[in-house]
Amino acid sequence: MSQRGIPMRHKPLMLIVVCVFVVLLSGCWDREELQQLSIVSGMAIDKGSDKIKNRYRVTVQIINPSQVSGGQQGGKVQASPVTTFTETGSTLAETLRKISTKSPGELFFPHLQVLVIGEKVAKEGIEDLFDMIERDAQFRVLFPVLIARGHATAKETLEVTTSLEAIPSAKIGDALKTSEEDWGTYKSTRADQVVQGLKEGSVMVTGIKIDGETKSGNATTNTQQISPSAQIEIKGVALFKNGKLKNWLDGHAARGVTWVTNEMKRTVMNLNCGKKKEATAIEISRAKSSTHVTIKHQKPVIYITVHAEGAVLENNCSKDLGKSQVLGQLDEQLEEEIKQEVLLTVKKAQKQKSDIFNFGEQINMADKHVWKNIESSWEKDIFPETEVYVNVEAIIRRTGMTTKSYLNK
Amino acid sequence: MEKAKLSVIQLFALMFIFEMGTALVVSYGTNAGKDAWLSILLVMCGGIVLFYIFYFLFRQYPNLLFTGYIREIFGKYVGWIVGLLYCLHFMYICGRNVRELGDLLVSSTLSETPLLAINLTLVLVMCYVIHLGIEVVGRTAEVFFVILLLLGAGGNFFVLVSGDVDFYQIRPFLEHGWKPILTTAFPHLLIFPFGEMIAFTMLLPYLNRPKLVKRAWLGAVISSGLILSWMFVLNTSVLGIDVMQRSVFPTLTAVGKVNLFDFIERLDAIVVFTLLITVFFKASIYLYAAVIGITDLFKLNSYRQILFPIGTIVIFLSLAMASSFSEQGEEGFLVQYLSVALLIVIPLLMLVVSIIRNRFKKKMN
Repeated sequence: MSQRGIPMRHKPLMLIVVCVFVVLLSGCWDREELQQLSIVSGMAIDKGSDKIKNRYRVTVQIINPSQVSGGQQGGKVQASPVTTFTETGSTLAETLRKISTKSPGELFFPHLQVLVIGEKVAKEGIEDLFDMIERDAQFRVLFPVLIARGHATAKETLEVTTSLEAIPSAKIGDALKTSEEDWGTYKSTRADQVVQGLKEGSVMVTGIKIDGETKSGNATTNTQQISPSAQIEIKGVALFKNGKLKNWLDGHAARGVTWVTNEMKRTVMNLNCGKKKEATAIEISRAKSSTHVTIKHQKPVIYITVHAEGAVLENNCSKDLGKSQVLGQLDEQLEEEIKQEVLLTVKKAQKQKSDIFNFGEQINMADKHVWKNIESSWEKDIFPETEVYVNVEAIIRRTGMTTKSYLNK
Repeated sequence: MEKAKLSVIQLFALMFIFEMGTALVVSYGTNAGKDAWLSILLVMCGGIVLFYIFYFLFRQYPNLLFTGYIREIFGKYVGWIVGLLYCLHFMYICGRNVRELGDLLVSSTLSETPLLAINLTLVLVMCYVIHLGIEVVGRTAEVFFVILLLLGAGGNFFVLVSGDVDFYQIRPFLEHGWKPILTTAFPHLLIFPFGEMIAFTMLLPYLNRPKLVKRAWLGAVISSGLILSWMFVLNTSVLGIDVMQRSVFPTLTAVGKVNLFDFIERLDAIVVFTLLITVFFKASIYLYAAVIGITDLFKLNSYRQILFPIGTIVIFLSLAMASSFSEQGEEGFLVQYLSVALLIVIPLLMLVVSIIRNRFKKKMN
């Protein structure tokens, strides 16, 4: 240093400056002590008591780290692994801050795992709920959003205790993921997808519901039973139009959505065997779909192509699956089945006049001039009338460990 | 002028980092909609044209700083005033860059830290590096250039494999025709960042092999133009054009979406770090250009005499220039008109004047 223009006599001064810097630079305005944070794992938004001052009732679920981290509790009384705080207010941000009067530490959102919205709020409109989430750097927009279905509020849904996973919101997140991967009917919707959907007009959000008695869900005794009196269940897809909940899609209609949007991973489909209804179960193990738009006479025509591959899981039918001809027939049946599901969903969406599949953008890509002409009247007038063709190619690759079933009829 | 020598690689590293500065992270060119990538490529060509203007002037006066030959061309008094104007402009833009970094840090990660603390530490470090000399800045840039490449490669890799990328989102091509592409490109994108390269006219005399300026400069313009264009495509295909246009820091938002196996996530730090590196060098070069220019204009012995005072002014500027982020953004659009004059019109004028002078000289001889 002394060669670089700092004379020797300045050395003690430099030493002091360095010492001061060590102290100053290591410190930080934004430090947060871990034990002072209240880690929010789930959030529920319900309708408040009036329309202005108490528009929303917001519940946050906070993890109790000492109960989650395992280890022997000794003779201590078991506290619940999470606790919830509820406040009412007119904006989300205000309400969340108000919660600090109840919670021991500052709310910490980056580990938020689910956001549950009450059905009543959803019917009145969810448009106002996401600005803060998008704007606040603390939130990540990658958590799934769910709509609490039926008479139970979002708060109650979030509070159902479960025995296999200590934290209820983590359990909801896991159930959603597993059902999405194994059952393929109810796709999860991330917050950023909801925001995009709100902007475009139509959006789908997964539903969640309490199965059993709502009241007993919120107690650790719920988990002491082998068959809990309250369980949560992923059920249905809520269809929103202009931010308001319009309709629920269930079962086959909901699965159609996953087919069209190319989000199908795995699912099981039943096929008829002669007169015996729903006798053969096929597992779809691979699926891919694409949408193609052509313009005919200044009007869009939509083609949906689905490719699916599967294997036989169960065959309660005397057909000999060892013959490729029989499998070929099953292929055709499967194709028809998938096609019907897709068409069912498309019809429902058209009836609702909401373009949940975002076909509009596909038209824009296919022909921007046509899209400019029809953009304003697309969802209202043109989408319900648009022709949609579905083409399915399904192949059953394997029949499992047996070919012909032991059944004779 | 200090006695220092920059190598071509160092100059290239400085220029490349300079070009990446803020443009990589802030909302850039989104007024052109989905076709902004094309705007950026067009503007890259504009940047090449601008280079030839600066290069011509540099070749005329290879041993003079920009503020030096501006006086040769425009005459002693007019040239001096215009030169001072440039120095003030450099200081102001330096302040803007510092402010932008501070704002990003405050709104994304350090929400309770006062802006002053961030800006102060940044400017102090900048002053320290410049105090050690432009050679040190160059060598530091070499090191950080590699780090920047690694960060960029890492960030790109994770975004690409994250499964959030949907390249169809940038279609259709020419969604709103050519008009928005051209109006965004000229002049806004041309000034920022390609026109800003004028700051390097203050560094060129330090080059150890002046003949290689062309290679370094053109290399930096082309590579950064391609990268900026690519980043727009990547961000748009992750976020969609709508979020892209609303987002203050699109790259931060796009990279923040990466979530691989619930394990590799929260990569925002990569972006913040990238911005930190690029802004540090960009602001340093501006600060150096301002300081060396003032030294030249006022005939001071050493630029070190005024380095800290100017640094203090920069801190003050960065805090006082606007009361809010939106105001700062709007101000940027106003400054744009001044920038057109300073970064495009005056150099062009200088080119014309110096060509005419050369003609006269030849005739006289």
